[in-house]
Amino acid sequence: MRTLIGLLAGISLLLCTCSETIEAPQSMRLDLTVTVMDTTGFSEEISGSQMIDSVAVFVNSISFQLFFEALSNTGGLALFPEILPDVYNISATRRIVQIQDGVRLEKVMNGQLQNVEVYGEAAFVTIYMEPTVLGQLLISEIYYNGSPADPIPYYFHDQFTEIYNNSDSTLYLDSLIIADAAHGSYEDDFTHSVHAYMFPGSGKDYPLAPGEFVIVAQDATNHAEYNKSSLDLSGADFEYYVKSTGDVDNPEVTNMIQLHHKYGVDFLYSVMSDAIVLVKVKDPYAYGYDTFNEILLPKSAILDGVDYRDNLTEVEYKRLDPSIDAGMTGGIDMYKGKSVERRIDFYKGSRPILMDNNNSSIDFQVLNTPTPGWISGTEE
Amino acid sequence: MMSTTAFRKSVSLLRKSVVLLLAAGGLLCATEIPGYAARNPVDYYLGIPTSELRADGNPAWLMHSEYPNHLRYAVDYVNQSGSLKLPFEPQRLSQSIASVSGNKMISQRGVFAGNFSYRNYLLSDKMWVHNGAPYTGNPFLLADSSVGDVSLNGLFWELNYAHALIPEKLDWGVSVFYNVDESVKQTFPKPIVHNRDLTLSSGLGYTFSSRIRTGLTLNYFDFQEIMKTGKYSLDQDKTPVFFKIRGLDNPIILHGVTSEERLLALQGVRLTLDATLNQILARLIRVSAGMESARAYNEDGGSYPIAQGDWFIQKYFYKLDILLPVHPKLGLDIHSTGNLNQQQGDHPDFNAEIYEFRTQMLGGGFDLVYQFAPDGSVSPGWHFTSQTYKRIDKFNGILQYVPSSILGYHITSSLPGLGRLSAVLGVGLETLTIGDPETFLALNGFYYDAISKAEAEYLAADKSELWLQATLTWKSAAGTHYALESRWSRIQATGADLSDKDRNFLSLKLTIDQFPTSH
Repeated sequence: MRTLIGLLAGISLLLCTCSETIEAPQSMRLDLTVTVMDTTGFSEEISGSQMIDSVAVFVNSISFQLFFEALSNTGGLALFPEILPDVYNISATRRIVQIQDGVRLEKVMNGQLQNVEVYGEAAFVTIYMEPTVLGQLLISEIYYNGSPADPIPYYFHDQFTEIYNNSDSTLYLDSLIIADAAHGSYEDDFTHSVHAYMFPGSGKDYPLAPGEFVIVAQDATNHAEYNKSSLDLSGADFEYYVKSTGDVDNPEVTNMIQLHHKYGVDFLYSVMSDAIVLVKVKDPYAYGYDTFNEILLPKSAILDGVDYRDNLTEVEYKRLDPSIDAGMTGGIDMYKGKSVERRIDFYKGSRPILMDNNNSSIDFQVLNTPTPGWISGTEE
Repeated sequence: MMSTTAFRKSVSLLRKSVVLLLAAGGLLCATEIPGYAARNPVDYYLGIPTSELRADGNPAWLMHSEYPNHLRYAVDYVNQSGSLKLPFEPQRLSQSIASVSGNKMISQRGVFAGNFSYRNYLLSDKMWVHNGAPYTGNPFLLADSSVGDVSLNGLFWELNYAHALIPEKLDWGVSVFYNVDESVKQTFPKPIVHNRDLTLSSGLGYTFSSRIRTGLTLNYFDFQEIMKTGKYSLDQDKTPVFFKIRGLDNPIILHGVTSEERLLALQGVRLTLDATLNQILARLIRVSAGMESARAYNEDGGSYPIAQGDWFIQKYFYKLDILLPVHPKLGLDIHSTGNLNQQQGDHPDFNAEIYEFRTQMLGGGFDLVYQFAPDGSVSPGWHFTSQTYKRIDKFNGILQYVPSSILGYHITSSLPGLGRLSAVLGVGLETLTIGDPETFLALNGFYYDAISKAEAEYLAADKSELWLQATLTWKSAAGTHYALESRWSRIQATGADLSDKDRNFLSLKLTIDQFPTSH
């Protein structure tokens, strides 16, 4: 019995000592330093250093969808203090404008790193920049999102692409190709396209003057007659037409030439994520097809490209590499009737010059109402 | 096989006194902290009541069952409602379980037992989270922005077999438990949750003499929960907003995602030692102690499976019951329980521990059992528990620490002179008093307030619980026992912040036991 009482006394003692000392825990936040370098010699020629200052560095946390931005200092360092550990995508952009003999010369430098693990005491990352050539013919607006049900649900036939002449001279659309870029395009020297359509013409049949647009519609018709929230694209300049599927054809609107059409009743842009490229190549069939029957087009022939996605944190699924598009635009839930449009950079006289950093995260904005044939903020 | 009569009489006596106290799970029920480690895995991780199962016991002791041949039909109904709750608990829960179970002695050296049950519940106004059991300590939860009703249908069964390896000395038993269920949230985006759960148990029991018996049980459990929201359940013009909750952090919010899938896969083992001493130091001493170790991984499915974090659990527990004779008509039951539940969460991408969870509990008490008539007794009791709850989000540097104590009084009585009818009535009051809680906050905002801050406020609120219970049993001459167990309790916050909130619990259980008439 005494042993038992001793045992119970011990338990009672334990009951009274069931507490602990508590200290405030430390956070795992850390400082990230991004070094921005150009080893191509371009920056060294201009400034005498490989370290580039005034570079806009964007840091994007994949898990938390947090975005941070900082400018690099004269030592090429961009500092991000006290950020949460995570896997980050990092991109950097700087536009260099030089006026030589009264002529405005522009170059954009882009760099990108994906899936960078940032954790520990502190993190140091180096991003290498490369100068890229700016486009003159630009994709100025893409409406891929689809329109809200009114009353027809899942209406996407009013998709369109708008192309703009951002240069000072007349350019020709003849034989230019609009194509999508499937997964696998990022790493390869070729885009892998499910669909590719070409402008007709033999060289100078379809001129585009500076500051002018063309609209390429999926179906050039007044879609609002069917679904009230949809667009009137009866005034489009071109349309995609897939004869074999019984696609709608407006005889008054010029059809794009079908080069490759793997599937679908039309050249459907995904309402969630896709990439659209504008390509100029002599022989589109010269590069063949991949094993998934997707046509290959050389990246070196791409004039412009736009990568869009509903979830902008999924940079790891980008389809275009930084030489074409260092960012992504979109971030829109499907069927909201919204479009993505290139921002105005500055005006040359009354002519808007659209922003082109080869980075759609910077260059593009989301419009609640698409503007086929004009730029929001200007007169329709 | 059944020669250890003295043993069984003592165990039976202890059981009777404990039944008076725990007839409807009276102790440490509503006021217990989340993460109460002593619960067995089926109960703890799945929320499946195990009163009709042997999931918590050593299957070898089936050989020493008081009723080696019997058949039981049971219907169990539980209802709880009220606003005093953790954020992810439903406003109202209504659960029914219908089961058939039985024991069959198939030879002098073998006993077979089984259970087959159908479970159904309806949760009203469950907020956000898809996980069926959000308060097990798992820091990685999947949720969406909806609040709505969830209905569940499931089947579970258990098979047990015990065999006397050396008659009256060494027994061995094995047990298999399997559960499948599906729950559907009725509101958009209508996530569907499937569970597939398995436990395998094996136990050894050794009878040294008529005074000492020991056992060893090993459980292995493998639980899988798949939470799916498919695009086919989406409505036009509605896009779900998903939340990925990680520790005490603000959740990761996903817009524009049309489907989401989460797999929670948990495996673990549990080892339990038990011993019963008869007429050594006391009339009867029964003790069990053990540990449990489990690991779970969380992974998002779909086209791109993405790891969401690993979760580790370590539990230690003991339970002690001592029955002392004070007087021929007066007995003293002393009991104590203790447990420690330590958990951690690891980052899915880095080799880093980002979350720590720890609860510890030590409690004890005594009950006097006064037998004032051959079929009548009264039993007043007192118990005290000291417990702490701590969790740390190392990622953000957030800590919540809540020490508390529970003081409880109760009295139960078995009414005499009712003939074939027996009645046990009980009433009890428990008060939960919070010590000095510590909270180190690093975050603010809507989501932190709605989840982690709300949880801390609930945990740090003083509460009291009043419970009443009654068990009526009628034994027919044909060897059939009918029993109706009922328990009602009301838990109310007594602190200033949540004083207008309470929660009511009601459980009803009807059992029909059929015994061989010779028994």
